[in-house]
Amino acid sequence: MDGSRSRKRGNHQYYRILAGLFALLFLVFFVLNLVLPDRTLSVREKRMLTAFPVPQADRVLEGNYSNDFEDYASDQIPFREFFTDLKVYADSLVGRNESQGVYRGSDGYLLEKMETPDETVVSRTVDAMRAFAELFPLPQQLVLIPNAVSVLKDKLPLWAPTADQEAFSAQIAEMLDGSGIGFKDLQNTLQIAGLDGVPLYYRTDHHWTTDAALACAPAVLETLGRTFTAKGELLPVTSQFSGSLSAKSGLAVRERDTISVWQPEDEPVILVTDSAGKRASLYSWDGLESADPYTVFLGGNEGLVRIETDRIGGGRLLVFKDSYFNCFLPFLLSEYETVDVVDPRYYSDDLLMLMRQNEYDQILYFYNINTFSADTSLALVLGEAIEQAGRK
Amino acid sequence: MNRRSFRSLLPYLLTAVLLAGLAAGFLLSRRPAEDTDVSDPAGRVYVSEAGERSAAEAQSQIRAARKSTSAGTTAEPSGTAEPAPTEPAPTETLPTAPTETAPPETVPPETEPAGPTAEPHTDAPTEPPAETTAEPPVETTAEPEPPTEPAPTTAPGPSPETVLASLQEQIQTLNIDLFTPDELAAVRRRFDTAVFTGDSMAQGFVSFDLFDENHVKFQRGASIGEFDPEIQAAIDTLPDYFIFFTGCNNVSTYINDPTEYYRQFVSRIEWVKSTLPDTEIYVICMLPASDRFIKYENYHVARQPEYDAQLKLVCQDTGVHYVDCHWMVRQELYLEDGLHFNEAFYTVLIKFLMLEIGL
Repeated sequence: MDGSRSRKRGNHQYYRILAGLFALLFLVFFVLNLVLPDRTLSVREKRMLTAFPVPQADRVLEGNYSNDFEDYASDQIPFREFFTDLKVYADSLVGRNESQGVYRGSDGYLLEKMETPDETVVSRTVDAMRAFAELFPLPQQLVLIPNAVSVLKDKLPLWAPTADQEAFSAQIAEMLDGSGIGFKDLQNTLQIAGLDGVPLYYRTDHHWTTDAALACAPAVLETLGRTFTAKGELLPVTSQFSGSLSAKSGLAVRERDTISVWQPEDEPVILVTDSAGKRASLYSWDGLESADPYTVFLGGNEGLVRIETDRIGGGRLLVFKDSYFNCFLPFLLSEYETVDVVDPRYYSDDLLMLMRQNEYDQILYFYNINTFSADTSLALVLGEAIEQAGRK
Repeated sequence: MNRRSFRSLLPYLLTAVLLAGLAAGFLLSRRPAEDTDVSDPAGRVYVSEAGERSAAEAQSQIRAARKSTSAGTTAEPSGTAEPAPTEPAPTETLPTAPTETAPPETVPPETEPAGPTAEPHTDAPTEPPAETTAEPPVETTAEPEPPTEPAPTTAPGPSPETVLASLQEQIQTLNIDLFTPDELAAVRRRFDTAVFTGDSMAQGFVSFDLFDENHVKFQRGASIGEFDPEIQAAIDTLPDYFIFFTGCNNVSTYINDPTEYYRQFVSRIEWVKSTLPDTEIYVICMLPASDRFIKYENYHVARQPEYDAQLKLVCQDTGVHYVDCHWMVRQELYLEDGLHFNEAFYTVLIKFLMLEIGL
């Protein structure tokens, strides 16, 4: 009787303190919010933070103002980075290892999940490629690079659900059968390189490394009917790369990757022309300092980039590609006189005119499987040219 | 410590242990990334030293390499290898043209003059590649290189005089052949190392999809002193041929002061000349507005001949080419605004420029 009363009293005290602390938290954060200056940019998340929403009659009346204010409050909360870390930690404590389609794998790897491809999207792309090959019967190849989720399967969390990239690429090979378009899947090449200890993918980013690109260069050039003879070395240019997967998922925000670039011994003279003008280097050193250091390669994605070299008589290559190609490009330049690089996602010019203006010797499609399986822009760009040719 | 007080302390202890455990785990999870510093600057300096070449140097090295191989392969005497950059003004009267304009597609008016490629012309789809590959010797391609022709003796293409006559006749009869897609592709290839800059007159090339914006740097409504950023952008393309095309905006801007117009234009040309010493500069004459426009819209523009005379002086004094195309002006070739010209006009203009420049 006596004891239970005293225990009750003790507990009352405990709860009181708890409630008091809780109330105090509100007060402290309210005051801090008022006192601390607003920040505009989150370097870690690679985005602008919401600014204070000035109340406007219509926003308030529509009931949107409270949403705006909530965004503002959550973006500007004091110690924001601390709290996001805390959340990620709490998630990991309860066993959550996936966020925004990104898995936290072993050895610090983040792996982007492959969504089950939409059959109609894929067949639209392949059909467009086939029709384009009929229109321009040049030697042409499709090179598909599997993603970390496929090559580094062993690093995935146990039983993590993801689509099968090997099956996908077998399916593409089948669909291209008889089209005159050659097909090369780099899964085996990459796996063998991985056994040799080559770091194939960035831990925090969805791209493959320059090391992996180098390991695949002989195989890709062979499918193009060339041999990869260039010698050189890989030079690390930054060790502070925090990639898009980490930004997207909030996982492994403290991991850093190393970006290397290829420095050939017998370097060809090159001239790069894109919408920004002409320059003599493939690399954008400013890109290294930017929010996305991967843009060091080619300065990011452009609709059309032309690279001319002094390898006269090397032939003219047209490439349709995604960003995986950006770090691969240097390995082609010892072999070609001109390489025109089209990124269909950003290309809005007249492809038919481009084909007519330039006598390409070869066409290369160069995609990572994740992008290729979901891409609609290639079919659009090719389709436009095909339609235009038909109209004439 | 007795049992009771221990009991009352228990919640605090448990909370403290739990919090301490979580905090420790959290702090461990936040350990700073190990800093495997790769000495960025060192790596970067090394790479950029190798690539420290300027774009202009790279371009001239590549062109030199191309020239030497193409001279070798086509067994050209190569005396004509570099006529364009060195030769001064006289091209205007096109005496140099005969040696240079021979390849068939320079003269599109006679639809498809190229003998060998003419036959399979009916089915559309698979055609274009075959045809385009047939044109110049295999790999000189994008370069408007003169040494592509041992042609003056063999006669697949009409002479410049006949081309000019045909253009004049098209203007007379207003029966003007627009470019077919293949012709346009060939034309664009010829003009690949040319750049246009100017006001809305230059914009016409883009509006009619004749050239893309990489080859036409324009600022609508600008007079010569007002589009320096576009001139800079044009310079940055490192062109072989730099072509000014401006219109009557200048009359309004420098109204009553044609000499200021002269001074401004000279300074822009000197600028281009000094930054691109090997580039040929062409200035297209200032064309008049339509009669209707002068009568109803802006009578100042009637003073255009004064300004065009100044422009001619500019060209004389700076030693660049003045392209006189007043003979192309027909009232029927103006657009509705009475100030700009239609696609047919631009088509003839391009063909005429190819004669003048010798592309």
